[in-house]
Amino acid sequence: MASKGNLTLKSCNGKEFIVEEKVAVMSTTIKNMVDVDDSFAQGVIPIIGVDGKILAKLIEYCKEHAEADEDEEVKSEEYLKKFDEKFVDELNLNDLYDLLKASNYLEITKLLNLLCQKVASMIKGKKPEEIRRIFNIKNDFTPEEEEEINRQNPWAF
Amino acid sequence: MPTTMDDLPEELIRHILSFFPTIDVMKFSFLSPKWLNLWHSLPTLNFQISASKTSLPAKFAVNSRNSSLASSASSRGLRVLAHSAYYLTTLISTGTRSTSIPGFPTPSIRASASSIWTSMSTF
Repeated sequence: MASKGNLTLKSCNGKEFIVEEKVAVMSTTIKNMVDVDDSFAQGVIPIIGVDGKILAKLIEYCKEHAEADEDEEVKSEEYLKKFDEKFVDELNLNDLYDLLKASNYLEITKLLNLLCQKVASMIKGKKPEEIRRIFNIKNDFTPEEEEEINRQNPWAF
Repeated sequence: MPTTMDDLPEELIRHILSFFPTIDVMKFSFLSPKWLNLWHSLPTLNFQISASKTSLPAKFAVNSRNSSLASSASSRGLRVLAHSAYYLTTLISTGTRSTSIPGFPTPSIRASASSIWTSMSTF
């Protein structure tokens, strides 16, 4: 049971994390849960579909940003920028997808935008075939469909 | 089973695409049949055309005969930054031709032409 000012978040595989409320409410979804129903603030908040590994990453991100929002002197904008860069650079593709889904579901807008920008930077200027390779995207087109797209849009390939 | 990009919900894909330049959104659309029409929902089509490159993507966009594009085109803007008058002429003539597409509303063509001229004045 979390002490006052703290919330307990529980991942889908049963891992519990006790976090400060200001960190947890970086997620609009959690903020709404706590605002609407007081029992969430006292008990355990289940984070559906998010496993312990991804929840730990989310908490790491929210902690840095919540602390920076509170005290700009301790964590400057430059510090946060560096933290963000390192945070996304260290992710493997699978974690990137899982974090995208989780930050979307939990409405952690800053993180969602950061991850989307990361994906955009990985795609920018690449040819479709390269993008498929980087992101493990299956080619579901029939050879005929692919030929038609190639013929209509030679600039893209 | 590891997550792949195919598993991401479409709203999330759209959010990711909002960070892309138009040309990359269009390339992305060609990756999978289910994403083929994604770029049609962009509020504005932005193209930057340099003299060294052809204006094919912009022509493709203007010329697209897809009915879903035509029906939503009235609220659509087309912004083209071109570095030479030659490419602008090509685009405007393409734009004019596309008025013959059934259902493609005339105001958007006018809007696109005026945007092209506005953009040109900055060069």
